[in-house]
Amino acid sequence: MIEDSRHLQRSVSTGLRKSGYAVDVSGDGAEGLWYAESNQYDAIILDLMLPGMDGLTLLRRLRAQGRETHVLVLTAKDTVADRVRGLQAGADDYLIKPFALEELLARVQALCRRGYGRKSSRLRIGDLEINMTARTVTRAGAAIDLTAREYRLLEYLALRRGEVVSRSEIEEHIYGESVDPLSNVVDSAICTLRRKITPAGKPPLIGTKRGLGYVMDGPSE
Amino acid sequence: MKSIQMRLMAGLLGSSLLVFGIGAAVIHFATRALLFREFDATLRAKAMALAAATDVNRGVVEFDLADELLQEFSRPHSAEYFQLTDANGRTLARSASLGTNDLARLFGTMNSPRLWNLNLPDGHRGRAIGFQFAPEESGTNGPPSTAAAPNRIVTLVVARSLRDVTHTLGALTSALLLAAAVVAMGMIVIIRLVVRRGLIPLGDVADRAARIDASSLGQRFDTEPLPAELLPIGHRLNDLLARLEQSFERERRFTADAAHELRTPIAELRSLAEVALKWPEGNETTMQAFHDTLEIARKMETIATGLLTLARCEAGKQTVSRETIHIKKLVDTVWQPLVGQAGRRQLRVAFDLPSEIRLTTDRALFGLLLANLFSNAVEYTPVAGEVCIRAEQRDGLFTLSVANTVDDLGPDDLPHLFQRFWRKEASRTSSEHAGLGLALARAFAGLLGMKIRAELVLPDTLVLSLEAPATS
Repeated sequence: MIEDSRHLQRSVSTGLRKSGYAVDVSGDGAEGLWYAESNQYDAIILDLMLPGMDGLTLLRRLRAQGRETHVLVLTAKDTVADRVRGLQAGADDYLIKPFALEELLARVQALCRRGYGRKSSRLRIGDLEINMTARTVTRAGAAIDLTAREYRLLEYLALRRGEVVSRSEIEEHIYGESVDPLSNVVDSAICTLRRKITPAGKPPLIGTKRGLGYVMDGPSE
Repeated sequence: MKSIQMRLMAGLLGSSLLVFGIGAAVIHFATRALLFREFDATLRAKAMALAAATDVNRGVVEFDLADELLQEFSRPHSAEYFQLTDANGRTLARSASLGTNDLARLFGTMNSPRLWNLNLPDGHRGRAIGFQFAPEESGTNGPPSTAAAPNRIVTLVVARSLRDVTHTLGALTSALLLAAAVVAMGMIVIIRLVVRRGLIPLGDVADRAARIDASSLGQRFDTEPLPAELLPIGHRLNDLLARLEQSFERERRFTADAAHELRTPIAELRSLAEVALKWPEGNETTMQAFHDTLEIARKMETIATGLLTLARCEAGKQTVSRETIHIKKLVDTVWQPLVGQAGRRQLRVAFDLPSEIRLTTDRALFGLLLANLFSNAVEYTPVAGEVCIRAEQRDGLFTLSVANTVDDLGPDDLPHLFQRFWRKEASRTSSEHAGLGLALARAFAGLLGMKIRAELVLPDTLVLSLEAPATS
């Protein structure tokens, strides 16, 4: 999130973290660009009037580098010309202040989904079903109760179905900067998640690739 | 009736009928005079004929009237009468039409006979001629004796009915009245058309004025085709439109600015509240949320009051009351609240204020002007920078300048400095400053009749200076 209002930084990032996202925050355009260049984000929330470098310039630079990270422009500039300019500079979405937090979260979620080439809000792996709108998970019809972070972890693995997801990728996406590199927080979270989504007698859906990471996939046919 | 058309019509109709009436009266009286002159000539000719038919034969007055002439007088109801009397008033002869009646015995001489109007025995109005003369001796052809004996002098009175003249005049009057009626009706039609045509430009102006609304205040009346009488109205309307456009533009800018600038703080408040409601936290976070709310509210307040003050200044609603002000004292007072902030930012502040300088101006407004300049300097001077406040009075000019170091201002930025909400860096959004300080300063300077200028003294000093005529 690149936004210079301290208050918005605080409340929006809180809302995003509570919803299970890992969030980096910057209040400066130049610093924000550095963040965007050095990390693989699912989505960027970008203000237009920024110190250091204005939002549109930042966006153009990012696109010029061939980076396809989804960008949601969040601004007080509300004229049609402003929106057009924003979208032409490479924004994927445009939200005008003041906004409803629910709407911002929904739009961010949609952008993240698009990052994995999915338009449907439902993910199905074997008999496990993830409803990304309602943020609910069921297995064989039975609801599974997950914390926001566990849900995000499951969703992330499911979105990258069949791919090996490294421990550091999980740290970056789900935990942000708050993870001690020496801790085994990812391993224990995976362990808990596995237990919750695997009722007795059902095949496990999350596999471990030693030294590489984790992979989620349905039972082979 | 407050209709120009009706007034014009009534006035034009009345005056043209008056002119027509006067003309008709002149015609009437001229005709009457002509008719009477002819009537009198005829009367006189008849009287002369009668006089010529009178002669004296051996001392007896004889009246020998030709038959055809006599016939005119002899019909009982003929319109012509005569009576011949001697000097003693005895009737010598009278027309048959007179019956036993007498005609008044008034007379002049033959050369200047007496003429008068009278009521005839038949009841009609008539006119009579009367003169005295001495009839000729019959048989002699000489002129009538002027030295005739008095008993030979006779008086002839001839009268004729005025009926024909009256009829002619009556017919003329009727014709004139009829003509007046026709003229009046014709005038109504013509005046109506002419007045309507004449008022078309007025209607056009009204139509065009009716089409103007708040969204088309940029329009102006094309005064080129307007007639000279409507030109002042066109110009006044255009002036009015210009003033309206200005004040609408001010209002529009105010609402647009207010709406735009309040978007961010409103978004801050909203998301703050939404997060707090959705994920209620412990006391500490709640307290933080309240602190944030207060801070945001203060900023919104600054924006709102700043914009309102600007709007009032621009609309000229701010009153200015001048008094003589001791500059050094005022600067000290205004600077006082900023001392703490300047100290925290480790600013080095220098004052150069000769204590004798006085200025006649509005104390409150000038104080606000200085406060905006000073707080701008304190806010935007980099940490540990320099601020210098200097006043001088020379050659009838008072100058006060605020110079401060800047780190990111270029010459290109100077024209924008006094624009409302202009910020070199959007980072200023996070401060309580709303980007209105210098816009307000310029508005106040305008009200006080002062010039405000910004210049960049290289490499890194911004000088904002005020100029006003000095108070002697």
